[in-house]
Amino acid sequence: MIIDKRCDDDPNEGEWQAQERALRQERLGAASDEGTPRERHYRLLARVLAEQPAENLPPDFAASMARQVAALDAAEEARERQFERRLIVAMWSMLALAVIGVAIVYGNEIVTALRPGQTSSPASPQWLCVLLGCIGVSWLAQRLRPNNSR
Amino acid sequence: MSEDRDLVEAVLKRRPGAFERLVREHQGLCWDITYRMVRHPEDARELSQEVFLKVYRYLDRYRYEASLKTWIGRIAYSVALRHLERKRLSYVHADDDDEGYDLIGNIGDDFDLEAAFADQQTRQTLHAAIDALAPMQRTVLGLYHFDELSISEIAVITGLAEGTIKSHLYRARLRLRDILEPSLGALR
Repeated sequence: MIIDKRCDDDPNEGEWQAQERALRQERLGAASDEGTPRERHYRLLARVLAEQPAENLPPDFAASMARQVAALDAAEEARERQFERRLIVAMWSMLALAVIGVAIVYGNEIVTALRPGQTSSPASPQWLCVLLGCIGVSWLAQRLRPNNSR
Repeated sequence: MSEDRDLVEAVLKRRPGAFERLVREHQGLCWDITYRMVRHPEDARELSQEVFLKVYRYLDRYRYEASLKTWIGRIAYSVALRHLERKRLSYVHADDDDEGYDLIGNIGDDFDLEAAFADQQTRQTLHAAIDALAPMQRTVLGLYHFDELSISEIAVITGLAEGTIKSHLYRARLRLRDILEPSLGALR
């Protein structure tokens, strides 16, 4: 295939002006017998070139395109919902596996630590201070967030 | 431009009827480009669908640097051009079988411009001569004469320099006039 995007012929200015003049006259509705023969030829061309193409898009083209994109949107939304559901199931499964794994590996230590009277029990004062500190830091971070609307 | 912005935002916000309105407003230009480029109604219809699906998919990338009409025209032109490239058709030069199109041979010696213009046969013959032009020239002529776009708008749509557009217009009109001139000489 010849791909020649350049076109170096320099238009003859007089001829170009005649073409443009005829186009303007045609748009202004000049009578077909006015002007020089050259202008009349160009006016005839301008008239034919301004005619509607013989074929056209079907009258319901816009409505059918709107239906097509609505169907595409619905399909896309359904795909996203399905992906989200699968992701949630996968994450819950991973969490469950992690809990089971932790229970198997550290089960005994956790049970021992939870017994009352142990110094490192989660109910001991130092752990409660740590827990309150975490809650305080989270609350402060939430307050200081720039787009916080509250 | 403000109307373009309203319409684009409405489509992006998925407002009911917005996309249909966008298609209705711009389907004429899209059809004019695809049909003049490929000259095959079925192909042009499929390409027009492809154009508007692309418009819908990429509308969020439209940056209002050109009018929406020009932006959609650019997509239509690219889609039609790729179609011609896939089919290995030249879009700058006329088909070989069209080069020898003999308009003069179809016009009798007693040709008269006024009578002939009224004659449907002559109109069809002239349309056939326009159809015989290379897709690029035919499209540029259509955009300039039928869609009344400026040379700079056509340059944005086609990605060609304004001087090249002017040259295509000039040469195409000159060629068509050359075809008509011998028969219309009686008017001189």
